[in-house]
Amino acid sequence: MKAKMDEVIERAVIANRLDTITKEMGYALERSSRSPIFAEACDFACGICNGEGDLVSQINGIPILAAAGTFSVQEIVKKYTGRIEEGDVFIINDPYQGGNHLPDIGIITPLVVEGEVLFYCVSRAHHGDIGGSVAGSYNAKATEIFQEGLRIPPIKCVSRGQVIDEVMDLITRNVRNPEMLKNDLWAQMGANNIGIVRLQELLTNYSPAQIKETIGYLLEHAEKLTRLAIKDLPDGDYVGEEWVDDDGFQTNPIKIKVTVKVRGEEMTLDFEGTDPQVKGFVNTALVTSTTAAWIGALWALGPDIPRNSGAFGAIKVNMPKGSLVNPHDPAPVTLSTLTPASEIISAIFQALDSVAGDRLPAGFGRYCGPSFYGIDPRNQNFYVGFAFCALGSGGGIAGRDGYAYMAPLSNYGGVRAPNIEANELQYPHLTLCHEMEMDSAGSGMWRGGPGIRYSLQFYGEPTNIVMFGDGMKIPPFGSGSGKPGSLNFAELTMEDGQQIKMASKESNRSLPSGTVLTVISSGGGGWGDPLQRDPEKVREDVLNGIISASKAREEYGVVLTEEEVNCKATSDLRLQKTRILFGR
Amino acid sequence: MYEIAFDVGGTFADFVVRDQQGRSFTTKVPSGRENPLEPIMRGLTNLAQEFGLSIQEFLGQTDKFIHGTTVGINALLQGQGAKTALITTEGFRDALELRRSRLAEQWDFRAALPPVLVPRYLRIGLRERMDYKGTSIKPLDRAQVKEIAEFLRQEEVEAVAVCLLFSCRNPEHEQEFKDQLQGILPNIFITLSSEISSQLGEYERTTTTVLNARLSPVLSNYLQDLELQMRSNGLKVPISISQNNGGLTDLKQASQRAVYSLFSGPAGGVKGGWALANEQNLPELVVADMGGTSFDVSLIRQGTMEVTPQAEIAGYPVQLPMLDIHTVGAGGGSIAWLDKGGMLRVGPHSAGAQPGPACYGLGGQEPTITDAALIMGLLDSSSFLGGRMALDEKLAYEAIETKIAQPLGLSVPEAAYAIYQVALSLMVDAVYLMTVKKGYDPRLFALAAVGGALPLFATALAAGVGIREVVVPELAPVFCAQGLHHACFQVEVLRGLFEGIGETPGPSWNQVVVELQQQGDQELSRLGVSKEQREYVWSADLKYPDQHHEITTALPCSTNDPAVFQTLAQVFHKDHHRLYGYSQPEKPLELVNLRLLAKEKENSILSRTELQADMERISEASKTVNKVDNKKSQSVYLRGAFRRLEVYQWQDITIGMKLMGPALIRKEFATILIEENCSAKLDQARNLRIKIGRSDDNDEGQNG
Repeated sequence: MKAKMDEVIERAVIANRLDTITKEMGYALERSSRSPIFAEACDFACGICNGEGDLVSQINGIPILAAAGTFSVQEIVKKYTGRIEEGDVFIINDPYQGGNHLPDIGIITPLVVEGEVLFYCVSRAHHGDIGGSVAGSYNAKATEIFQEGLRIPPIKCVSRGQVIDEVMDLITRNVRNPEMLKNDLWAQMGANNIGIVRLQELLTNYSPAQIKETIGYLLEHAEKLTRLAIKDLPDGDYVGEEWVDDDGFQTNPIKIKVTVKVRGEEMTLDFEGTDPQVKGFVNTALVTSTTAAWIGALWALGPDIPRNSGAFGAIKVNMPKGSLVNPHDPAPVTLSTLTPASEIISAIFQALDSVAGDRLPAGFGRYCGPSFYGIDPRNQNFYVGFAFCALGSGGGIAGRDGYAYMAPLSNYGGVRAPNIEANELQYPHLTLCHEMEMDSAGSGMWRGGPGIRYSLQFYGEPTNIVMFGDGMKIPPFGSGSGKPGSLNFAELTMEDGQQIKMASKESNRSLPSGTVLTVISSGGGGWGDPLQRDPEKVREDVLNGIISASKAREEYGVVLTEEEVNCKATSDLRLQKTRILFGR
Repeated sequence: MYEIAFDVGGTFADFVVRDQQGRSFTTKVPSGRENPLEPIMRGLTNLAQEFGLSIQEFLGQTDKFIHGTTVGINALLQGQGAKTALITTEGFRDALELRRSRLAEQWDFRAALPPVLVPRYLRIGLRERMDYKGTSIKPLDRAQVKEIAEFLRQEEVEAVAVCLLFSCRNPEHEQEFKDQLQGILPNIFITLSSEISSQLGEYERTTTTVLNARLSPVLSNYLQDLELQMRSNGLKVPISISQNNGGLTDLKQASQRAVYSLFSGPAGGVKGGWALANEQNLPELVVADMGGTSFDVSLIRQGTMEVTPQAEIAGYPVQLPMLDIHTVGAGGGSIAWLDKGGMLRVGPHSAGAQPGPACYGLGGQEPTITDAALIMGLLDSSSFLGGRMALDEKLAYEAIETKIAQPLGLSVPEAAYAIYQVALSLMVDAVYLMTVKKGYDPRLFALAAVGGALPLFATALAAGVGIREVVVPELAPVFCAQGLHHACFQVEVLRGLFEGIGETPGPSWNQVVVELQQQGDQELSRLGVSKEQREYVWSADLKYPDQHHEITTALPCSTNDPAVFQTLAQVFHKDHHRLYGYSQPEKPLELVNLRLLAKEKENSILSRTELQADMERISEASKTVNKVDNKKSQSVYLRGAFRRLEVYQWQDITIGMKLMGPALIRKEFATILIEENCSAKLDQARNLRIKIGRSDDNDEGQNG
């Protein structure tokens, strides 16, 4: 009995400590890194894997990076087992071998105890530029991965504590911001070092055997929780479909199809029926598509399951070779962590809406905004930036409206958008507007979050911009009788007043100083019947300029008289609309 | 004459009065939600009676009156506050609502964000614009200000928050707006962001400004009532209010700066820790406090309190320097539960005070940390909270049995012990993270265990982090109020600079230094701090040029030392390595902000000889009366078995007496568990000093 009690205690204690260590790693990374996308937007993840490369603990961060660590570490395990020494550090970014897309570089530091690797500390972070045809490395016109930037297979960059300068030189020589990249790799290695030191401290209190036993338990425990949650779903085949606008070359939408097969405690996410791979950079190599599938399913299965390899392992995935979600090397893939990762998740949400709908939201806005680069006229320095302030909005969910200004699903809750003030300090542009857009939210009993109107004037001479993203043709879906959200929109206004509508995937444009870019991001989809929405909430939305009085009347059936809800007219109108709906 | 300090929290109001001999007298009364003045009057009346005085006489003989209040934070948590409008730059009225997209809970779509504090129709875009340098590129539209004034009047708005883009670089437009609006609506309360925080970042600055606008009228009303009532009961001296940074301010400032006192009470606890650290020469001290719902940790380093440049309160960012207090959901009422996979968890959900732990008998069904402590035999069911609340052991037993023990296949005491240990691990990790993430070695610290519940965990917590000494202060259960006695007036001012660190400081540096000092001096004069009593603490926020987060670096020398930049740089590189695992001394540095903390010199820690003499007299007396034969024993479950532990009453312990663990010490409002291999004795100031031994050492400490 006593042994059992000790075990109960030991497991909780070690689990808490591992989470504490990853938290500290994340804190150090965030505070010490340089490139804006990394330090300000928090586009990174870090965690701890065991000697087999199973992810044991990870900070909450970018969801689509949740499982990327384990794939990277497994590549190191595969290639280097038996040759790993204390003080070695590895680097990796190849999407076809353990990475997700080229700008995300993984740094992996093993902890070797008596010749055996007990842990790997891993950090993955999005760097501002990794070379390739365009600055910022989102090359919407790439047709091969070679045009997207530098590919780094799993290799060693520090050997027994000595940095291998040849490797670092080769990498930094191939990017546009070598100094920043180098600093940020230091930040990643620093965070890993902190993890290693803390794990060594843990080893002074517990033997390697005790820790291994506990980690085994933690993985099994997450698997068990996952299987129990699967068991709660009725057996069946649930089909969901979602589309990507286009690939920047062809104009037809590209289909993602998933069949979620639930059999007792088993779940398989089968993407048979998904369109074949395409020419442009919306293909999704296996690491990203598999991670998207896992996190999508886990969102439906519940918030309390630890996101570790135990949970992931309980969900089977089938990604047909040669399809959009498992393309042949060297298809380009850079957009994949945004689109179609978010659309893979969205397809799963739509498939499981009927059985787990209370946990799942209506459609989210997709990312669509440019990178911009050039020489800053204020200091003659090269800069490259991203339009993070163009985020779209979230879908409604049972019990509350969607939140405005949310990252797309694959990045939900993980990205931190910069302040306008910080942006203007960093980049040569003046922001004219950053506000919610009226009538952009998908109507519903719980409506979507309104989209954002974001308008900025460049004063670089010139400013180069590359538009990338999606969602200009396919809106965020409405859930149940909820209405879809609005489309992404982008337009340039030249100094002479000429207006140019932009596509979601463009090659580089060189803009003269004074050009204004306006992006209106998607409002989220609505959840449930708008005619069921509390008329008082509709009144507030009109008062707050979220919806117009005419939309209140047309879609919500709410009549306002002198800013108050006209109850009689509203109930008459709602009745009439219901009748029309049911064809009576 | 008396000095009164009191802290009114959610469940209790704590009072500590010092008399001329430096003796402390305490009382603790339950604080209701209804009228916050009522517990204050009750507490003061109790104390007056103790001195054989009427309340008029008592307050009339009081020359210091210090208050820590939760009125502001309670209003925030309960969604109360003045009807507030927000004025922003035109085109940017949604910054408050858009936040910055990052979420604390990303795996649960249903999780709700904290409410938006100003509805959109009351957020108004003003036609004006400053650029990133603080140069006006669009003048303020004065005609629009009139329209806005009319709208605010119609809407019966009580408070206005103003946060314009780049007002941190140039506050002119904000000031112009305020002057004009004040002229039209003289009675409306206006907060400018540039008055509150001059840091870059409109989301955080706006939120901080709105919090202040919304909460100040509430706090102001309360403070007016308090002052009126205290005056009519004979108080002659001004009332001082405790601030987030551990300093004091007067009623005028507090009424207009509610956001500066959101952590008024807990700040007293850190200040108390600071005093303890300096009195007892424990310069590295972890101050840990455990109450009903949470476990709070703060650090004293090299005898000074640790400050964070920005904090989060109830999900809202507050862009102000304040004492760094880390909170974890592990309090006496935190609930133990099993997840679906059968793993034991504790918190963050709390049964609170209502219904409270199962053993309160108020309908709570869930087992809590308090229930586990009761089952283990750590708490005495009849003397909990000074005997004011009888605990029902049967209810605790049932809750643990059905919810934890049976499903895990453990006995009830084993399950209780497991709950205790898991809760302990949360605390150990919190202390560990708080120290190691700042690059400090926790083993070099001592632990001050304060609050009602922490002394139950203190020796185990210390052992878990590798700390070798625990201090339980005599006044542990009223520690925050006690700490307020040490607080002094202080003013914090900051200026953004944004320049590279060169060889020697340039003219702009010198000018900013002069201006900040003037600003600080002006405020200190208003607070009545004489020139001789002033002290200035300078620090600078530095970073590598392409970094986004600064490190606040203490100025190791005078501001006009020609080598000031070089020394600053050295300190920065060292701190950077300690915090983030690497540094780049060859890189240039950027100076972002210069900060000045202008303060009243802290009363050098009172020479406590009189007090000590007094204490010894008292303890001599008690020694003869009680000796140690009054001790009882109690059966306590530790590490797999019930054992009989000796139980001492705090008042029976005399200076010089040495207690060996395992033992329990009971004290009004607190029980102290001294684990095996630990030994405890009172120091001259009647703090209980516990040496943490290891199972493998028999060394009893140098003072043994």
